[in-house]
Amino acid sequence: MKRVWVHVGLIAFSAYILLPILWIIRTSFVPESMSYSSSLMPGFTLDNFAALLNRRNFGNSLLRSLIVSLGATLIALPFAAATGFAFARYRTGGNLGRFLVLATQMLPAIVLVLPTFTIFRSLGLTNSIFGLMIVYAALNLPFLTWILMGFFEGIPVELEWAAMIDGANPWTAFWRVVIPVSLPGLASAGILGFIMAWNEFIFALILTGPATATVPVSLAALQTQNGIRIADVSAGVVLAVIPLAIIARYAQRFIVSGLTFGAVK
Amino acid sequence: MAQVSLRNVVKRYELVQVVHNINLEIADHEFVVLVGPSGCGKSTTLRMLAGLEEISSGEIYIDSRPVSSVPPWNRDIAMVFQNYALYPHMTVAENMGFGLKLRHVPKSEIQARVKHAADILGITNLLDRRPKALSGGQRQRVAMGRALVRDPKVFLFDEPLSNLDAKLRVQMRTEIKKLHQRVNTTTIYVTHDQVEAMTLADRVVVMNGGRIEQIGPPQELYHAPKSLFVAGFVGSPGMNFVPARVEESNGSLYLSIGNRCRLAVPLARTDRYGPFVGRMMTFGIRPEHISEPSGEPQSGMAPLELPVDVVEPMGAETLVHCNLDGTTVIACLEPSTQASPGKPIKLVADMNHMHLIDPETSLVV
Amino acid sequence: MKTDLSHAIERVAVTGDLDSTAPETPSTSIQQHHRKPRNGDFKRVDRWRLIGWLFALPGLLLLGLTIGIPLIYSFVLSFSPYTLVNQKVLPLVGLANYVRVLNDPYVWHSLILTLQYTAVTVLAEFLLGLGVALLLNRVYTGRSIYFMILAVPLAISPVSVGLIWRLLLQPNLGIVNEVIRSLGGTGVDWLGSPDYAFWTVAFIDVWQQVSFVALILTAGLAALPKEPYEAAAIDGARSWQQFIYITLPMLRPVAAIVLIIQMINEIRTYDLIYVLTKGGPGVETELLSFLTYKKAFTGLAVNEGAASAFVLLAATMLLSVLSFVLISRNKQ
Repeated sequence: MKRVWVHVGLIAFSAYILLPILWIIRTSFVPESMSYSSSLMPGFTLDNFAALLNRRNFGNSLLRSLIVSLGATLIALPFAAATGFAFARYRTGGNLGRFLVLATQMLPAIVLVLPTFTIFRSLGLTNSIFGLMIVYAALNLPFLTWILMGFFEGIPVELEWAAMIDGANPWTAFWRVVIPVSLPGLASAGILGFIMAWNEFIFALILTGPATATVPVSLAALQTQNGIRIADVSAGVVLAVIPLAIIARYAQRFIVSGLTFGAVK
Repeated sequence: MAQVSLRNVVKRYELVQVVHNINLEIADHEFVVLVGPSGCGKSTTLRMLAGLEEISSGEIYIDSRPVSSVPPWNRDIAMVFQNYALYPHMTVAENMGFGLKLRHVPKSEIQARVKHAADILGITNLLDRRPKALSGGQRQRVAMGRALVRDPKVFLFDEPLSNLDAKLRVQMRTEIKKLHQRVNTTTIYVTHDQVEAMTLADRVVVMNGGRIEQIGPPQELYHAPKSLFVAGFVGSPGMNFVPARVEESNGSLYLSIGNRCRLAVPLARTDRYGPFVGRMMTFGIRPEHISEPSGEPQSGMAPLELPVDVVEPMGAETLVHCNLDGTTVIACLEPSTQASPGKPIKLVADMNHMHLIDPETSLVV
Repeated sequence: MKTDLSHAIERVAVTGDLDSTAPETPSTSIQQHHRKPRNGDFKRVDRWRLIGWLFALPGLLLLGLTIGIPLIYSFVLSFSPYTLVNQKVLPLVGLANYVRVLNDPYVWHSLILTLQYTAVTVLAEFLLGLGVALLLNRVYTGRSIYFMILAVPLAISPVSVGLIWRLLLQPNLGIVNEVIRSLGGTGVDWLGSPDYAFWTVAFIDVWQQVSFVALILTAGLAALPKEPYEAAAIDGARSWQQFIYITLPMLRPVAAIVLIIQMINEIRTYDLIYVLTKGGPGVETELLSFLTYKKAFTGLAVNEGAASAFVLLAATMLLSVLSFVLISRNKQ
């Protein structure tokens, strides 16, 4: 009997989370003239997506975001793995080092965005995908380091000792034993890094121009002085989430374990 | 194969010293066991030997070559860990061949050597499995195989049997001994289990509080312990210790325990114990040296009559807990004993096997 | 840290290559052993320390390059005359930017607003998240489906979240007001009216962030040992008593972490404001992050922006330290 009420509560909460999203998905498939209709499904069309991709070059934004997020994650992962490994296994820098790396997460983005903008402008790196990639790699680095550190701490140290005694120097032991064993952790970290880069807004807003806008910047640009084009926006929101939905479909357990790793363990 | 020596080896972390001035010479082919309670520094010593921890001072020599600046990956040793530390992403064959692969040994030779080691250990049918699919005993064999394949100068074992259940432990203990008899590699073995130490070792090193208490063959440790710690640590059930006063009358020595109990010291020990007349000492005697009187009284046998607290039949023998002036004394008796709790029992202590310990120095005199 | 590294390098210089198989004379080690006195004791710098630094260094260098340098530069800018019109860093102008920023009533308004916003959102997220976590902890069937639903908002960017809710809350045509009207109420200009804007933004933020809190707290609850509950049940504790006397105290470390993470997260809210209100109506939702952005990029005063960014950073650090102290003191 009690269990029923628990489910009632959870279903109510799920509805609270899901209904807004479902309504946007619905709107993205409804002809633009009917967008604001309150009926459930007044027609069905893919025109909104086609219009967004054709007229507004949203496809380019998607591609750019994909390149930037993937690149940033692939750059950050090896650095984060090595640093996290040193922190976990060799206690390099001690507690102070750990704290400092975590503390960079405390920095409000706005503190870093101003100097990065002025530095990048003098280096000619604004409006460049590559510049943004480097920034995202750096922003991801502390977080990924922290997650991977937690993961490495869970691996018995004897595994590395065994490798070293087998004749592996520390690098070989890391590369041939620790890394293969840590693939699930690397996957968690990589996925979270990708999501963070994919959704980042303020750096992208300030460091990119119309020709290099990422998905969140392009989305934000859909609201103009004249109001929002509701059909475009809902189609854009749906398109922006699709890659993440695919990842979630195939790697949900990595996301959850990654999110909870640093906090609970 | 090699001889190993530790000279004045010290390990300290910040201000805590965990290993004090260890000196140990290990001969070629020898099987040496480091034994002691947890935290006695035995594992740290082994890890310093492996190069996994640096020594704070002193030097370690393998084949008279100083190795303190040689990292573990260049020391040519092999080690078996308590948790086996098998590489989970490799098959059994890959686990065993990893060390050879790192040394660029040709593939065919790796295969041959892995096969050979697997034959010795009886794990040939497991070579394609991954560690996850193995039982505890099988993992243990693979870990030993990984060491065996390498044919290193020294084998190090760090509590290798602690994760096994009791029956398997006894079985693997025998296998380790057989293996050593077959390959004859110098072996240093760490355990907290004195039975393992006694059964396996050519020589046992008893450690306590970061120091070596005694080094010797198992029988010597059993019969002639040098300190209270060794006397109590070696043997199971442990030696009985009773406070006793050394007294003299008519040229003979006696141990006086409480008001009523007086035990005669064998004449042969009169000179040894003479200087302690009048002092409170600790009298030590093993349970197996207390028995029920049979036939004529023999020399050195001191009679006792004690109330029984607990009777523990073990099958081959029966342990009887008695009360000697407030101290519990365990006697190891024939299973046919009539002892029952609450009743007094007549016993004799074989004083030829007695020990006397000076409580001030904790040393056996 | 620096001395450790230099000592380690010194050691490599003394003993040669790390990989060297050549036996060293013991005297080298002993010399080394006497080199570094510490607290009256001698401590040998060992190779492991150096290896650790070799692993850590690339990442730390990248961090220093991309976060350390901008941070320092930003600090310098906050003392400079640098604006987007006059792009000169030198000569420094001392505390002038800070004086101007701290005398600006809008900065104070934004700072107080930001603190209120942080308090409201974090508290709401925690209470709602805890409720959901407690419910989730009691179900077995369908648990993974609930988890999946819970994770959805976390995958959506704040920009998308803002846009979704702007469409839903559109005053004349949006579905929310439509529903309210069909139920006989009157529509509200959720984001445009001074009475509602702050709370609407906070509500939307909570809608997205509560998932994270619930997820972490659920994991924390699942990790709690079962024995105390069994013991308490045998002792006759009712379920609300178990919650008060067992769950809450045991959950505290995880709860503390989640509260601090969310506090740091909310105090820098920017994306939502940009999409939802641009700080309006008037300055009703102008959080400090957004004001800083406006100062630097609309007002062109990068120097004042930098100064106000450091005010925000100071507030963040102060709050973190304060909550950290409160939590660790309560522990005893």
